[in-house]
Amino acid sequence: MSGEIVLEKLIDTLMRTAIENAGAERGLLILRRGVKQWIEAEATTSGDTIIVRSGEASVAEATVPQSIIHYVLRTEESVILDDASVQNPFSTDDYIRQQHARSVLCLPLIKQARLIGVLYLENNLAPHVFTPARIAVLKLLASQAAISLENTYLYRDLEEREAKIRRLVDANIVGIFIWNLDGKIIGANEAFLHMVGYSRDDLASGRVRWTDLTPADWRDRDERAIVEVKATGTVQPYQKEYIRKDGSRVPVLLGAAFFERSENEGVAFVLDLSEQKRSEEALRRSEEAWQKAQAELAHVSRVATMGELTASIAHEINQPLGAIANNAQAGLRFLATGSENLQDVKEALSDILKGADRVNGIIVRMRAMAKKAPPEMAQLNFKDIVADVLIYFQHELTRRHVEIELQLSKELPPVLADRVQLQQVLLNLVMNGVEAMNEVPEASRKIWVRAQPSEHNGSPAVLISVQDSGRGLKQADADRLFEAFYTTKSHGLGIGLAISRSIVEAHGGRLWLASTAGPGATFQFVLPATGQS
Amino acid sequence: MEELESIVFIIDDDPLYRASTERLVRSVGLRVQSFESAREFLSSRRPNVPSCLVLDVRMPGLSGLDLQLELAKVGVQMPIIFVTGHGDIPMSVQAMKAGAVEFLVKPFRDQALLDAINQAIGRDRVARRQRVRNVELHRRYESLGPREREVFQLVVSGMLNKQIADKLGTTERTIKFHRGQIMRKMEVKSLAELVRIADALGIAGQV
Repeated sequence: MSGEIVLEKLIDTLMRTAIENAGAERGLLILRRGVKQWIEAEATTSGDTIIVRSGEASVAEATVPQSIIHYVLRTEESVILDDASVQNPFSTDDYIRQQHARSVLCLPLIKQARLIGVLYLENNLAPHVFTPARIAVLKLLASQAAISLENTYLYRDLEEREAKIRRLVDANIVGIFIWNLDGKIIGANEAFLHMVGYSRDDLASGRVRWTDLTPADWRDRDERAIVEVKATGTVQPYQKEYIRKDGSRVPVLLGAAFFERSENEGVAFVLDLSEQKRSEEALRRSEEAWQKAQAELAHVSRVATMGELTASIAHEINQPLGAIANNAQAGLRFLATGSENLQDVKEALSDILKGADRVNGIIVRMRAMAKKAPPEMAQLNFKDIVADVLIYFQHELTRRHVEIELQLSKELPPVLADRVQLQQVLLNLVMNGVEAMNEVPEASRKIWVRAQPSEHNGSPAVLISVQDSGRGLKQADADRLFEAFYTTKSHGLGIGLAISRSIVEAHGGRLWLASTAGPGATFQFVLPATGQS
Repeated sequence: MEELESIVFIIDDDPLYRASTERLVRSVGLRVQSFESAREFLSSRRPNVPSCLVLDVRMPGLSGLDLQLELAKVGVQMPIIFVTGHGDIPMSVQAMKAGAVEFLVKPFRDQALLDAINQAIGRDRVARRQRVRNVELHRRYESLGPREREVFQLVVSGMLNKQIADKLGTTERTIKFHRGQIMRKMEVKSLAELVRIADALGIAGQV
């Protein structure tokens, strides 16, 4: 017999007995549920029959003498009105006035000094119905009822809780097992058994121990969890692995708690993370692949640009090399003509060193440009980037009769960036500018490179713009300019701008076409400043 | 003594390279003056001695070729040695047409540059001497009277005195006299010398 039915029968009996014994017309059983009071049952007489209805109304909304009931709830004392129609402390109660109640009895239901509810009885026909003898019986009945009700409720709650847990366990949404600190698994649901690949027979035989399911490299973590559960009664969920019966591993999320009043047994909730780990791994792999492709493309583009600039680069190296050769020859001649020229020899040697340094600097930079290396973030001043890039360009610019004008603010804050990538962005923009001017008369070929302090998303930043004096861009081209493999040039890969934009964005900045109006096109990009100087 | 007097001008925008060229030229005992840009060179006061110019063609600003044209315009006659990072044929043709004595492509042997410099200075020295002499010859020529100049032209064209006399409607004796005066004023002793001077002055020998 379920608790539900037991409770209904109990209430029914209680109400009938109360009405029969007390000669009441109407009776209410009011019970506390949390902070509110609910009418659990209402009994009314109709002729010789008593009707008991289980009610589900809140006291506050029901047709009851509110003041009397609240008085009893508050004071835990009985209220007996022999004749409610005469002046009494509750005469102003709406219910008393409207219903013309005569005899009223309201008893507290107390169990172990705790109020669990109220029994309210009334008779609107006759005064003095609730005689002391009847009241004594009712009080006894009420105290018996209180005990029974409370027990029944506890029983019902327990049953409900158990049913809920059982449903949770049997639903197999999460893996659940009952364990003890000795390492034993006392019970487990299908979900858990499925996760670790054991059968119910394996479990029944007692061969499956949670300590054995745990790989050696996770034992330390389990030890910490045991310390935690001993100290707090629960274990905050953590990720670990179990060894399946077939030897493979399963990643899980585990949370556990001691049973109440137990210091050895508890329940554990286990979530299978295999799928999540797999998708995380897939995501990581595809991201890695994307980044690798991106880096690959950036490298290809860089090398391609460098290829276009080989003549310029060769010239940059030839200059110091030629100077070295000249100085060496001059030094030898000075030495051959006599000792009074030692100062000249010294100067020649020192210039040879300078030349060697210059060659070295160029080669180091070039190697960095040509190398496929992971980005290395450092605090940089944009001026240095301009200087780096001009090495590749100076000669090319003179050869193509392009004048370059630098307008670099003196108060540029440093940026956190990868030097080579930033060089690449500037290289691309300047190169595009140079190539956009192929059909412009030599005398009016000019490129402006400007850098100034600025703001980006409300934080300090550096704004760089590269403007050429070419013909500018058609709107149709401007719209597609940043697409990979789109190019307005007769040669070129069409990836320079796309790569430049992704580099700038990876640095937390933005790159855009600022103006297509003459003279030429203006590209701008903004990079967040590092904040320190 | 004349060797020391000569000077080599260098124009190069790369300080390290410029210094090295300067040093190399100095190491063989030549005087050097170097400039960062063509503009700087043009605005400088230059000693009036045998000289040559070593010029890096691809400099920003006024380029080497531009400078060559500029110099020609202002009448500075100076042999130019072009030095370039990478020369292409059209550029070298253009330079040589405009009077470059040498076109060196980096990297070059030091001796190539030094030889070119020596050659250029030698050429300038001759040209200067020539220019001085031309001035003198002009002065002498200016001292001739109109009739004498007429006779001069006919003499160097190879006509005999009698033929000249017939042509000018005078006597052979008069022509002989003019001829003597011309030889004296032009400070020559033979007809051959007179012909050479006429050549140098650009006086046509044809009638």
